[in-house]
Amino acid sequence: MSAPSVAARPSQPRRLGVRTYHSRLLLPLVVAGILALWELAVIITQLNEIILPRPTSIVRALMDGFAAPVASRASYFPHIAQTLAEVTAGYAVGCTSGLVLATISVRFSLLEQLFRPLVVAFQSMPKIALAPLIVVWFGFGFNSKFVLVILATFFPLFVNGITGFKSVEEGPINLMRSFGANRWQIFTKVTFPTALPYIFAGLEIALVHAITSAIAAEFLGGQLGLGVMILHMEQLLDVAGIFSVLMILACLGGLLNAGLGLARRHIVSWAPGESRAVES
Amino acid sequence: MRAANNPAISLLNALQEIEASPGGELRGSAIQARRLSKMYRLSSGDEVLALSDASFDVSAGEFVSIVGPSGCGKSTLLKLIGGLSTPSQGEVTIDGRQVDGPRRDVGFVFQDPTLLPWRNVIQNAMLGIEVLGLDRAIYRTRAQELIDLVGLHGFEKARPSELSGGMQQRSAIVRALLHDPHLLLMDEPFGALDAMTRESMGFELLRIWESRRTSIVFVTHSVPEALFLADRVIVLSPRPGRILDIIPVGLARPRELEMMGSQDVGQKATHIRQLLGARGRAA
Repeated sequence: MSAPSVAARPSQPRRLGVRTYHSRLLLPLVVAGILALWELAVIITQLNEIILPRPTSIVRALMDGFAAPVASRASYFPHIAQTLAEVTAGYAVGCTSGLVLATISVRFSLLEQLFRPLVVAFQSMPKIALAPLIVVWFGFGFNSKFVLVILATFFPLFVNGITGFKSVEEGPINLMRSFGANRWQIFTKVTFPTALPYIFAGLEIALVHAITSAIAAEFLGGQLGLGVMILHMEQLLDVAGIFSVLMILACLGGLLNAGLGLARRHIVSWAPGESRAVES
Repeated sequence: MRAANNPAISLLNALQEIEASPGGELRGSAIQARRLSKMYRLSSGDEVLALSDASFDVSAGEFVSIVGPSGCGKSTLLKLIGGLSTPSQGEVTIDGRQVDGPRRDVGFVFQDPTLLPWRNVIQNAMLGIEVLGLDRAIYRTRAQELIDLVGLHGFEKARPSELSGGMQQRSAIVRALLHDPHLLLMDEPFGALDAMTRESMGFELLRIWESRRTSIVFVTHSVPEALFLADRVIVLSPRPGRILDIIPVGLARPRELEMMGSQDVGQKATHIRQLLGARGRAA
């Protein structure tokens, strides 16, 4: 990347101008202001903390949860690990199988004609509605959550995969054919890279679905998991605790999404503009 | 966005330095097209005759241009020669062997540079080498020589989106030349370029051709470009494409811009335009 006279790159790292510097300072200030206002409002109105806990109570709940011995039921760590395991395992299996089936469907158009209507019918059904059924089949443990996450992540990758693979234009295919390329070479060197922006859009949608469906399945019961924790806290009217778990969920989701975004920017840096989402 | 150094001078220097290719001696392929016709079936079910009864020869090392109005089957003809498409009737032979699919001794340049946006210039150039399973180390060195030859030195690591249209097309030409084809099939390669870039690309193409002696079939809708570049010009009619005339240009090599002002060239250009124009009015 250090050729002497390479043309100016369009996406040079932006230097922090006065405006971006201000906006970086502005956001934490606004957040701090809102939190202070919230704290004050709860104190002044003497609102019961079962309705709305004070931010300081939430922070205390967070600290207690992380400070508790890891082996104890009060510790957040085993629950975080459980939910993270459900999400990542289900996500990996669901996304991979969706993509593999998309590849096979595009290769054999008969299969696509067969699959497509089934998939569309199944896709329009909210997968979370299946959760009770999945629990009946797979029990209250890890497996039911794992299966529901697979179902939720399969479709975005299947649909976006097919759309991406079909977005390949005739020109590059003719080019590859002119070199005598076989199907596999055309797929690996042209079709798959062309589909990558669509695949990443699918991966981002699937990530949201994965977290949502893992928590939803945990709401139906179980021993471990952040959703299970929320359920317990609700029964104890520990609203500050619920807020603290919600914050953990927000952070987990944000971190996973940021990791995915980083991978996307690194891998499809050549793609113009933002990724194009196909399914919502 | 153009190369900073003068491409013509860098070309001449590079040409003197370039040695024979690793694939052995360079030579052009001879083509025989016999009574070629191509029928397309549209999605509506109707059949369209794109090319009708075209017969012509290209001798080894010859530069032949094909001119005609848009939609006259020029691209179809090129695809038939290159084996990307099969004729409905007739046959094409290259060096005596009937074409029944893409051949590894043919290089294609399309109107659209068709560069893969995730590959840089040198990676795009190496695409054919990877597909053909040739020695990457040897051809990487050759790719660098060709990149220098077309005036893209310093842009090896640039992505297509960082190049101008002319530079993209040069990059596509490097890719087409890298596996030492004996025949170069060019489908309006300079069609999307501005007039100035187009002219200098024409010069560069002629220099490359003179140094490598491949045969070239060059499709264009520009009559002056066809006359300036080619040994012979094949004139096609509007759809269904039929060969109206094959005109020997008869200008000395190397070609100079001043030759284009001669009376002979002017008469030939008028003749071609009349062939195309008369057909256009009749249709």
